[in-house]
Amino acid sequence: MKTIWPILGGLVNVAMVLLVAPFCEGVLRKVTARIQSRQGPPLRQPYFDLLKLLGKEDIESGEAPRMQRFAVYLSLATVLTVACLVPMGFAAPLNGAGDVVLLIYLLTLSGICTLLAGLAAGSTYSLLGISREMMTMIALEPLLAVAIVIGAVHTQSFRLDTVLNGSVYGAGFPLSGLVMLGVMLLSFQAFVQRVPFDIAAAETELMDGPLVEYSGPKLALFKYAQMVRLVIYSGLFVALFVPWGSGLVFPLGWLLFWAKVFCLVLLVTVVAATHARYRIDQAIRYFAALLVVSLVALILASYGR
Amino acid sequence: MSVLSKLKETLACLKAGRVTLPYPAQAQPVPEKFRGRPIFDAAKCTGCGGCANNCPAREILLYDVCQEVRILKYLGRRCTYCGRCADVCPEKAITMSHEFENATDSIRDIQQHLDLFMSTCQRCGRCFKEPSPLEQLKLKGYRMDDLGNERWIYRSKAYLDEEPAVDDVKIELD
Amino acid sequence: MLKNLCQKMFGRSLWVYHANSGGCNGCDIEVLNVLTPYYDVERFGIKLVGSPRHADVMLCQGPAMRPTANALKQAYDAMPAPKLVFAIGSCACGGGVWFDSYNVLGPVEKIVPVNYYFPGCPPRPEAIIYGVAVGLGLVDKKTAPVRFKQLEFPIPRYHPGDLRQQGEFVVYEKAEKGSGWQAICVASFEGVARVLKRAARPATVRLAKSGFFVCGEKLAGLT
Repeated sequence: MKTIWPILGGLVNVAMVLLVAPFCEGVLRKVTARIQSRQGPPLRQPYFDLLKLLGKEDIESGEAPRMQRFAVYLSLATVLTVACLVPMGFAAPLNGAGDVVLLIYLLTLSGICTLLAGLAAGSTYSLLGISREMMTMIALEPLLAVAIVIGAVHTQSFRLDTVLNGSVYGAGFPLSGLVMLGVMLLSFQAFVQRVPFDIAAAETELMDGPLVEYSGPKLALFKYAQMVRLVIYSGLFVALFVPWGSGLVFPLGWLLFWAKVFCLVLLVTVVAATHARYRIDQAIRYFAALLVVSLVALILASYGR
Repeated sequence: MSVLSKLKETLACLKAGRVTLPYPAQAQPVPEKFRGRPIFDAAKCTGCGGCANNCPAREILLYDVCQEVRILKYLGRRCTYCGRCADVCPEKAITMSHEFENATDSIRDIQQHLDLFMSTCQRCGRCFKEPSPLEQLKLKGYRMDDLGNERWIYRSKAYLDEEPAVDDVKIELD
Repeated sequence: MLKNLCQKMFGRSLWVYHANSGGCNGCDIEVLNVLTPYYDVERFGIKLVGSPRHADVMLCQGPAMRPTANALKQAYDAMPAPKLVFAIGSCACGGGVWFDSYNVLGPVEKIVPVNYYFPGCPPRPEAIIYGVAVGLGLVDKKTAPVRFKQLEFPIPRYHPGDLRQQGEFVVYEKAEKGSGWQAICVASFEGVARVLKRAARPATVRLAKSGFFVCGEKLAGLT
């Protein structure tokens, strides 16, 4: 049982994430359409998109085709591995395989895959896209790292199952926890790369940024990785900040987790549909302010508050 | 950019409901003076050629086969549905219909080809003397356009010069 | 099996790339109108993408111009198969009113092979949606070439003495010996339909100023 559980749990997690991710994207597009007073695409539209892209011809263009292939496979692999490390209604399957530092590294690696993809393409639009993505990542990854480190400071350990269990709220009045909750809510849109922070893949400005030279099946895998990123970041947020009810018995806790993820996706949709995109310098200034606030929260946490 | 204003914006848009027209499911009403595809009525056409002279895209071709028969060919490729042919026609033989659903996979589908009988006497076969200048337009050899290559023949031959327009892409000039 | 599914999904999610090679932007605006909430083409899964490598359909607008000829060809070559090209507007279909002007090479089909034509100046958004449906094979097209003949060779001469009244038809029965050729003068279009339905072989209908002449063989017994 000890050896089967990680494998089985990992497979269940990966399968659920793969199935639910296009559905969440479909919900996002449909609700955006309804907010814009039109009848949007059907809910299963992203499934149709991915299937159609799989059936198209694969044109290998760009400067380094082997690096292009590598970037695509790596991006999907990293996000699916993170899916195995996040507790989705039951304890994280690959609990013993790593700790929270591995989680942060994997998330950063999935961001780097986009940079690799843009570099491999080599066109002007993609290089511009990845320079903006690099600036955003430098300002953004520390926020998630500070949230996880605050959890680690409160529970005095780096293990996955202790940190990813609402550990941000320490004992007593959770001041640092509430501050970090505010910071993460304000910057969540940037992690999942939606408006107002989808600067790297700005469609009309940059012709889809780093993904300019991808076609057919590779584009399908990249889009899949972006959809999965929405689900796993929501899962992480739920595990860190809204974990109540995850101790319930198997079907109930699992369904409650997915219900919370769904609410978070709806929140992302409403914010995305009503805002305009930020310029890169406005976004960096915004993240810098949030970074200062999160450092204040870290100092408070180290003092035990 | 307060949260409350964004919520109010969302609620206002949701209250508008769905404004999408159910177009393919239901046909939409067309405005009254809408100019769709021109329909050439062969029963009324007298072959005067006023429409051909006035078409800004030179899409109506005329050709005199013999004294009695004139061919009028409307190629729909460049037609901009301006309606000048319908305005000019003295017999009101051209109507700008309300048809706008003209999509097709071969542009030759929009052609209308008319073979016109140019009023010789049905008893003896001779032409009678035309009383007016408009009737005098119905003379043999009035217009001889190039039906095979589907273009007007201008008086000047400049359009027939073969000159490559682009160096590296092989284009055939019309 | 997966291949079949992918091919079936082609019609459910079309990604469109818009290429304007020198037009007046009238058709641009109509294409953008199709994407607005009022006509909302996204409910069929159609999305506008920024790169030809992501697209299935290229919407060409504007005539083929000398400066942009190379760029249009490169954009067409960059699209992965299976691909379609739609020529929108009279300029893309045939050169428009600018067909003989400087820098205009002609219709877009001189540079890229066009699958479907949407004539109009500019075509209505409903016409564009209808055209996309024709392109996907969901509806039949409504146009066909038409040929009218007011007269047909040779021109026979009808002497009044040889025309006989037979019921509501007038029959001309003087034919050259043994040719079997006969003519019936019919006063109305319904009469023509009635005669043609009962004719032994397809007959020709000639439009004369006084009615319709139905000419063919073995018509005498049909009136």
